[in-house]
Amino acid sequence: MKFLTHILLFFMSFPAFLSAQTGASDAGSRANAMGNTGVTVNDVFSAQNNPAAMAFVEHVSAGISTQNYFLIDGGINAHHGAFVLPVKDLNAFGLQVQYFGDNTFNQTLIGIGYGRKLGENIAVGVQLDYVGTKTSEVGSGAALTFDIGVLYKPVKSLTIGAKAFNPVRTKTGLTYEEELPAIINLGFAYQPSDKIILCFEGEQNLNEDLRAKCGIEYHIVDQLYLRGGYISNPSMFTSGLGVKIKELQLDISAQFHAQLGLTPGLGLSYNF
Amino acid sequence: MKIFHTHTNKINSHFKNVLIYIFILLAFISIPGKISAQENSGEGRLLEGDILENAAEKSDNAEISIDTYQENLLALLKNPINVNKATPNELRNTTLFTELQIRDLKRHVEIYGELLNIYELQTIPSFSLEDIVRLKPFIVFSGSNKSNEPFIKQLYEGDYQYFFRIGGYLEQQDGYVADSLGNTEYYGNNQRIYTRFKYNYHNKLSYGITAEKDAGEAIFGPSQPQGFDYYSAHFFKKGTGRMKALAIGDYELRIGQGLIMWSGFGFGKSVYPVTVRRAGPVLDSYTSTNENRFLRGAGITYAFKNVYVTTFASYKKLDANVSLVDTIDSEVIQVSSINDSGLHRTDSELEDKNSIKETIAGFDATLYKGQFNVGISAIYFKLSSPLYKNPDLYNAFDFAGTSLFNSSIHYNFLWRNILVFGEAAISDNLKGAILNGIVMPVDPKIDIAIVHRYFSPEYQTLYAETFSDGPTPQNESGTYFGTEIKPLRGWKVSGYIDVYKHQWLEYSSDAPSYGTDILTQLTWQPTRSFETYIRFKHEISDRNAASDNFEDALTLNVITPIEKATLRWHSDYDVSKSLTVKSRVEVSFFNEQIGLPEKGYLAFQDFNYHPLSSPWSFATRFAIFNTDSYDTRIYAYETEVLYAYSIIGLAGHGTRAYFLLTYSPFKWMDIWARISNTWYSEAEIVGSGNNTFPGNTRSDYKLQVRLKW
Repeated sequence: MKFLTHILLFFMSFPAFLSAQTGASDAGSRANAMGNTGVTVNDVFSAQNNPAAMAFVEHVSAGISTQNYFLIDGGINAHHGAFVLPVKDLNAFGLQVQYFGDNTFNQTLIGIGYGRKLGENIAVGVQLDYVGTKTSEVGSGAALTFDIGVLYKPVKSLTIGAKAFNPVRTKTGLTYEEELPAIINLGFAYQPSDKIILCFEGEQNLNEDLRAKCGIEYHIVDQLYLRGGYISNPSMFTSGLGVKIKELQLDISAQFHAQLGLTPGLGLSYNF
Repeated sequence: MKIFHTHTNKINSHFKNVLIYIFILLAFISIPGKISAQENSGEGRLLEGDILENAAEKSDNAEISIDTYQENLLALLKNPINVNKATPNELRNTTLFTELQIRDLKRHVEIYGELLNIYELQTIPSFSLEDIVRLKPFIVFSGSNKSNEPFIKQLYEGDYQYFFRIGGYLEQQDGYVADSLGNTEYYGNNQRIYTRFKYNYHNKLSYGITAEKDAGEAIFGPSQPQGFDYYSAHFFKKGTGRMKALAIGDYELRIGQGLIMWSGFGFGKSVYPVTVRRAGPVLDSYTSTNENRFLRGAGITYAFKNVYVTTFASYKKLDANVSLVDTIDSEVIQVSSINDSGLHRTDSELEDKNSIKETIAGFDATLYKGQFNVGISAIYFKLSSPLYKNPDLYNAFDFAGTSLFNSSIHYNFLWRNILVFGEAAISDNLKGAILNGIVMPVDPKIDIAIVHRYFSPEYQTLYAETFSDGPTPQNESGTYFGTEIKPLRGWKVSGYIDVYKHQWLEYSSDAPSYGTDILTQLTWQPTRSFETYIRFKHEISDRNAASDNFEDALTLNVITPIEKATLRWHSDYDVSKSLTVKSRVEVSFFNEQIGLPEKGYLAFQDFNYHPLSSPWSFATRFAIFNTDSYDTRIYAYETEVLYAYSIIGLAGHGTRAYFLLTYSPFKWMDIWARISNTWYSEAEIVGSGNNTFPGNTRSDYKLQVRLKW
């Protein structure tokens, strides 16, 4: 059975979440609970999800998160670490580290980003990324690339965001000519009140089918957030909750794939 | 149910869902200012509007009808309910209010006293402007909901109506063509005849009788000695005392969320994505023409303080496919399937008619306590001869034998603004089904609904029908998420996502299968007279691959994901008080993952003319369609004579047109005449078997008269 699961994983789902991982807008347990919609939301994980959104982050903040895919022995994991440093209202610097994979294949990304507001309601951002790829079969490689993003709020309740990762289609640096995925995210968030955010996002890996993602966050009481979402290709429901205790926020997430099962996630972030 | 006409037999089996959609429409679409228009055209307009034909694509083995519901609404239109005086249960039974609205309304009356007019309703947050416009014709703020008349007077002082309807195809289908010996396959002529008498006293007491013959069925003669093929009669009384409802004759029965019993209409997946909870009176009169899916006997609801106890019993004959007969006294020993079509045209169909007897008995006891209610129920079914389906892997766990016992617990709970509801049921083999849901207005502009269900593959039912992808609550688990967002005035975004799994084999999938069903719609209604929407519907579900479909029960087919999608643009414009024009373009895709995807389109233009001053009105449509295959067929709802429905699935290449004329010469008389025609540019032969048409057109006529006094 375990063998079967591995085979299934490899053939059905691995490519999909592999490509969605490195460079996608899906960092943080909050986004994971909301259908991996990250491009329009500003929090510490904007350091990966959209560098422009960092300019809307108000506090110096740090966060970590982790996901274990389908609870498989041996572990296919994603770990994220992010740090955002706002400077003088308009600017923000970010640092992020992410790891994805298992001991047969994994990628590590380190990025340094900068986001800047161009006006009250618009910001742009750019990030330099180092991506190291390690495989047990075909050796290792390293690549340098970048991502760019934009975020704007045409009206109070609406946020529109876009991000392109690796638009120049850099190679992974492995001996065979494997490209790093080029991923474009475009989405909007609708926030009619402080209690609720609805996010819709499209994610196009240039080598894959379009993924539609949507998520909802409901600020039900002061300290508690309820979240839900959906991702297509492959079809997954997501859910989770967040607890905020003063400046510390604890988030848990769960993603459900009909055949492969559950992917739990956990995250912590802190506003200094 | 044969008041419908369809272009293929297959489509006929899809009607249940279509009817469900009509029902939802009736209940939920706002028809501002139209319902309250003059009574006659008002009724006509209730049936119109955007019908959600995509539901017709769902195949189904059961049919139910919405006649009863529709009639209840029309009766309510004539006798609006006083919302100040009505009890929560009376409001619930109208099915027009949400639990939240009922609670808020009652609280408002308690705190501020009775509402004076419709404007005061706007001060209650859970009533949106749209709700109020929709409710307006059905509610009043003064007068009594109780009847003052003595019972005897209620029996004759109400409204009487009589219907007579005749229709048929103009072309002669093969089943009516005599062979060399002068015999035809069908016993009767090709006319459909429906006749009905009904009485209604202020929506509190009704009785009536319905008789029908389908096309191909005889009237009298050796095959139908009793005249019409189908008769139905009912007596129904609603009470305001301790006796809440009494049904004698044919009736509908609904329990909980439908996991053990649901006859009549219930909500499913639709473009009203947060309308997911089953609600409605437990007992209701039955006035439709589906010949199997109802109860015949008696039922009563009696209130012991807060506990409403309903007991019911039913005994009727069913059509069933006889598989084993005692050779000596020709007694039925065994049947292989229960037949819901209600058609008795040929020898073989007549053989199945009324071949077994079915007895049903049970009870439901529900406690109502503030914002909370919980009920338990039990139901017992007994067939006179055992049912053994032809053995196949997919039906290995289906009900077999003569008797079945089901029991369930169901609940509704309103906490703050959040409604939680559900039902858990077991069958006598100790296998279960459970369904739970939650409906939340998370923001004044956003409603969301979540439904989760798990139905064991071994759970058995006979009359259950619930919120699910499959037709019955069996062999399915899934999660549904629906939302309705009104970001700006005049705009609405609605959508749902349903991800489900069949743990065991299904009829068309020889392995456990998965599916994802998505619908999104963007509606823009800048003014009351104009509405337009774009709808995208997409479904991926696993089916047997068409390329190697083995009929052999022992050979397992390979399953493959099948992708279906439709994209529709529709607009509905009231040019003036009397003229409405509608336009639609719809494209469909079907992808079996082998070969090229198939596609098709349908476009139509409607003109509906209802001058207020003239006794004449008409409705007409011209449509063109071109689809690659039957799988890319597109359904379209059509305007019909009162109480008839047609939803046509169009496939192939051709045109479709109809013309409906309504004439109301006197207050007591209405006449409808309708003719429709489908022309196929390529087909040599239309239809199949006994229903084969000569040539490449088919034309249908219908004439209906109503007398009321």
